[in-house]
Amino acid sequence: MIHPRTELREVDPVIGCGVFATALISKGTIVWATDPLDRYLTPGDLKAMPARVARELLLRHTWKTKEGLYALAWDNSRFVNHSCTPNVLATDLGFEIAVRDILPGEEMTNDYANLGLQRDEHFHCARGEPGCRGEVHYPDAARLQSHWAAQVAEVLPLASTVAQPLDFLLSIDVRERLKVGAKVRERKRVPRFEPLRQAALAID
Amino acid sequence: MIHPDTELRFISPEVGFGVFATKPIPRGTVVWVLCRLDKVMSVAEVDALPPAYQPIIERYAYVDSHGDYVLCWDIGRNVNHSCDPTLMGVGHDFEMAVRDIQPGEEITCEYGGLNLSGRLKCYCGSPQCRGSVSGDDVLHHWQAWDARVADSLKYAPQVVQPILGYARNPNQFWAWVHGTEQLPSNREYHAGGTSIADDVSSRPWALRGRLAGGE
Repeated sequence: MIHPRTELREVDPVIGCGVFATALISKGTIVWATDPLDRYLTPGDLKAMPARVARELLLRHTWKTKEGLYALAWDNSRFVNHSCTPNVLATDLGFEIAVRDILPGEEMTNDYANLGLQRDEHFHCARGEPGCRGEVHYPDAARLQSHWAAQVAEVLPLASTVAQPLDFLLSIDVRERLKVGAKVRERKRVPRFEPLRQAALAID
Repeated sequence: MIHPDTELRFISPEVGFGVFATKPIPRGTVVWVLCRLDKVMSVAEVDALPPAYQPIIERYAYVDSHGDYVLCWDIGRNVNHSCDPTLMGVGHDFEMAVRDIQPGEEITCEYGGLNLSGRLKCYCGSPQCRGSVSGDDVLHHWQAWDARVADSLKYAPQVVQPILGYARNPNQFWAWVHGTEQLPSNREYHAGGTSIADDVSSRPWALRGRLAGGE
């Protein structure tokens, strides 16, 4: 689920839609965490779809997990665009975090090379900002891993000092590690009312 | 699942986003089907979700005749209402083009059959605009809507149907087209039965306020 202080807006006709902050989102804020409504599609699921729909999903709206599944966020987080100098980065704790202050009206961006870009995949980044790599390739991840990790490590300690509207989606372990969520032990767990992975795979 | 020849576009701050045809879509084409990736949730399941989910469910899901919430997984959830829609529902699980849709034309449907809990202001601007739309509109207009669906259903066998195979039960659609089964009236998809309820709060899903406009 994406941070509630965000909305979908059109960036421009080339890039299409993107996700924008509607209020200040301070660095160290968890801006996305996986939740029970997200879908995890297998390569077989994609193959069973119309070719154009599958291609659109692959290119634009899903990211590949370590398990080889295509994660499709159920809400506007699927519209978060790539930037070579993103203000959001993925962590290995199941959430994404703001690595800079995101100002009201500023677009929220992520680095797609850090989201399971595959060996045979590459795309052109149309942003052309300072630091833009132009072509985004698979080897970028290996080269930039330590750079991303350092940015995340810098902001993780801030997590306990800023508002965390998505803390309810984090596991107890992660909340304790980050020291977020005031009454960690008394909080109810998020109800996982249906194993969605199976729901996505079930054929009627 | 929505027809692949469509895309999401920004319309205006009042209306938000809408879905537009990128190629001609002829009358009789099924433009949306309930597919296995769409999520159907009971009221109890929606209530069991943390509060942060409620505004998104309210905005993007519709309520079927069982009172269940249906959240489309793709931009099907962004299709806006029009009082002169390009699509009409054929049964529960299909939306069909009821006229030829031109490239660049907005894809719209009739929210009056989607069991809205409140009354939404309508911005469609068509000559037939009712000014606002509510879940009980179907009880006033079902005869006209049934006739529009029946008029277009006969074109269905003559056009390409790229998404029908992804419906939960495509054979049902063809049974209605070929007349081997009687197509249920729009009226039967009203979740409150066929009576116009004065006290909408007697319906569990009616307790939720729905946001006006439609992203």
